[in-house]
Amino acid sequence: MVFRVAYRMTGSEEDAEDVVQESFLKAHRSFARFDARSSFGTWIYRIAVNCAIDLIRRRRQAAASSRRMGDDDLDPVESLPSNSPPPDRDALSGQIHRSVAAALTRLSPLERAAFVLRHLEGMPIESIASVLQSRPNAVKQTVFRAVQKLRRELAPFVGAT
Amino acid sequence: MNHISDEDLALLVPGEEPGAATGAHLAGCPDCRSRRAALERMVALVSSAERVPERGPAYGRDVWARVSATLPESRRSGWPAFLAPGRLAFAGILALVLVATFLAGRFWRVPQATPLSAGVRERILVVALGEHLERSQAVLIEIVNAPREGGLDVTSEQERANELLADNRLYRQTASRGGASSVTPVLEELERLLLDVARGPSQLTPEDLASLRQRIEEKGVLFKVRVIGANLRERGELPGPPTLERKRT
Repeated sequence: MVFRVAYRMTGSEEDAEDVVQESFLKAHRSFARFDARSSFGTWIYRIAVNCAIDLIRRRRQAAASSRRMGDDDLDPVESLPSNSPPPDRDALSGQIHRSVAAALTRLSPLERAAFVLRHLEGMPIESIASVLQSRPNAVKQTVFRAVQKLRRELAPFVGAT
Repeated sequence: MNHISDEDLALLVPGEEPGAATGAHLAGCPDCRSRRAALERMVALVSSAERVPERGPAYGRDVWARVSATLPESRRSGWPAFLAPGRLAFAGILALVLVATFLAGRFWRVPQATPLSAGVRERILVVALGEHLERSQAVLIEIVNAPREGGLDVTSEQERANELLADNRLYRQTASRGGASSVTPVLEELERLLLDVARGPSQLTPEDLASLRQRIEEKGVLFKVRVIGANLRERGELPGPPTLERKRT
């Protein structure tokens, strides 16, 4: 469960492994403060999502600073680790994969989290609000923004399917 | 006719029943159904392109092994000190002494004439509880790691769960009387699971297994047992968990 969310948030197997390990380390450290009456699933999701958001932000800052250093040719989407389609997949599939990865990369970390939790994990809005420590209405707006952005980015493929 | 707004449409998840008004509107409005279908195509595209790599049944144990290896030595302060003398109420101490004495007689041959010091009693209890959690963890791991397809013969797990139940009850009562608010709920959850395993059918169908596995994972019981077990191991200098072997049918 934690790995799945971490992978969907980061889009990278290696980063997802880092997120999982960091999440469980944090969960272990703060276990004494875990309120037994609340949901363990929500608690661990919250830790994992926050770890993933932090990691995405760190990656973006590193990419931005690398561009400032003169590495202008570095495309943040091109530099996504381990997301390249295997060579035996056909070109269209590869293109779709890259476009989806690029579209997801253009979401803010919070938008990506809200989209993943709602549409890929099927979590109710109230639970997402609890995970993101936000209000349900704010979560709805964040999901909406994410969906709008993705629809724009992926319109050519969605129209064709 | 008021169509469904983009904001509301963006929240609709395939397979989830929309509200009554939205559902009624969708049933009678081809435009909105078409907009919803476009949204579902987009989500399906993202989901298929971002296919999550599979993780094996031993993944949880591997992660835990990696996490355990990186834990700093000085993490004792984060532990609520379930057995720390300063935090135990009188009733807790009394119960502790009773249980420790009982367990001392059970696990070690202690000469009757030699009184146990409070430190020794505490250590005996820590070691015994740590071992109990390791054994319980082994039963749960075998269930969680069982193959997804086909049933599972849990006869041996049932026998072990039965043995663990009585001990668990004793530890839970002790923890509860001692005011160990973090440990008690975990032992309660563990007891319910052990009870279900012990009293359930010895041949689990794939559905039984999935349901049991879901309960274990949803409540994070395995994780909690591991955390408490690791803390006790550190406190009582117990050896690491034994290699666990799965039984399949």
